[in-house]
Amino acid sequence: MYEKAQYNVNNAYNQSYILNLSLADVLKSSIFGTLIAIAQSVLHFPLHLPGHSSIYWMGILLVGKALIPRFGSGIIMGIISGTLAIFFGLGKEGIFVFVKYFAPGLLIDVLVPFFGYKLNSFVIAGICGAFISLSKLGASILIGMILKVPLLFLTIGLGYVAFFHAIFGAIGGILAALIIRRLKPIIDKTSLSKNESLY
Amino acid sequence: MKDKKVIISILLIILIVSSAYSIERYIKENGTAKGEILEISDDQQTIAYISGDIIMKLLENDDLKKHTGDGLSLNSLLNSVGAYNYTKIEIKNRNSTLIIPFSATDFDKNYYIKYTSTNNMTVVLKNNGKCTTIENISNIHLIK
Repeated sequence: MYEKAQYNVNNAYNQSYILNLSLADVLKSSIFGTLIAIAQSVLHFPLHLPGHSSIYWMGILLVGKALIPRFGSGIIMGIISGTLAIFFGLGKEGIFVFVKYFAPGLLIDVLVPFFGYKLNSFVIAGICGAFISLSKLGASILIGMILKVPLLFLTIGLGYVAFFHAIFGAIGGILAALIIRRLKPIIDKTSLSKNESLY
Repeated sequence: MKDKKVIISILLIILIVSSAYSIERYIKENGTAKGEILEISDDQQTIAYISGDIIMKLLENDDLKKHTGDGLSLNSLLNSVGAYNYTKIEIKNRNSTLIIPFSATDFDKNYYIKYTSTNNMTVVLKNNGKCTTIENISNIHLIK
């Protein structure tokens, strides 16, 4: 009786809930999304270089994507972090800050399957990190254009900013790969043993 | 196959970053050549780049145009980029260079800059009822 009830709960927990993701995946993605917004709000590295927040922002996104390797997890992380960013008052873009948080989440969902979800590889994680960090810069420029910021403000130092976004995104990716290498085997092992006991 | 994807991706990142540099350079060089972007520099470095839309934004502040009525006073422009402690300025366009000594009154009331789509960046110097205009200016060089 108890085993059957536990099986039903587990079944409901694992069936498709949104974007082909189970409720568990959505909840896990939400945790990572929240972590991004909190990290952005709390961590302030005294690096004084553009895009340095990509180290932890893209790092957390990639770890989240590696642990929830399904289409939609990035989008959920982007939506949650973007919504929280609006409420935390992060950035100077007002409500448009959502786009800046959503863009890397959306891109990661397209990019990671292209590389076969091999985010434990330093090279692939670094490349993904650089790309999604550059997408954040692209979103910032787009927001600037929507808000009719003078074009000169958007383009002065663009090359320098793009370079550092790519570098810090890649660093974030490499750090994420490091964490994924340690974390993934433990999580895989745990979920396998859980499944064995339930079924 | 995987290596191919990695190489293409790295090349794509390099392409994006280099295009960003190219766009920036193109906008700066093209803008200053046409007189749409103004470079403010001193002996050591470029202090700021000012475009027509920035002049328009600065002009939205009524206090800035109360003296000139027509454009942004040269003093307001230089103050807005944090330029101070200079004795002369050199105003350059494609064909000529004009050096004017700093004068608090003139820089505030009689010398101003305006931006129009036909004449681009234009400096207007009012002196005893006479108006001298320098159109399509590309550079203001501060001499200490």
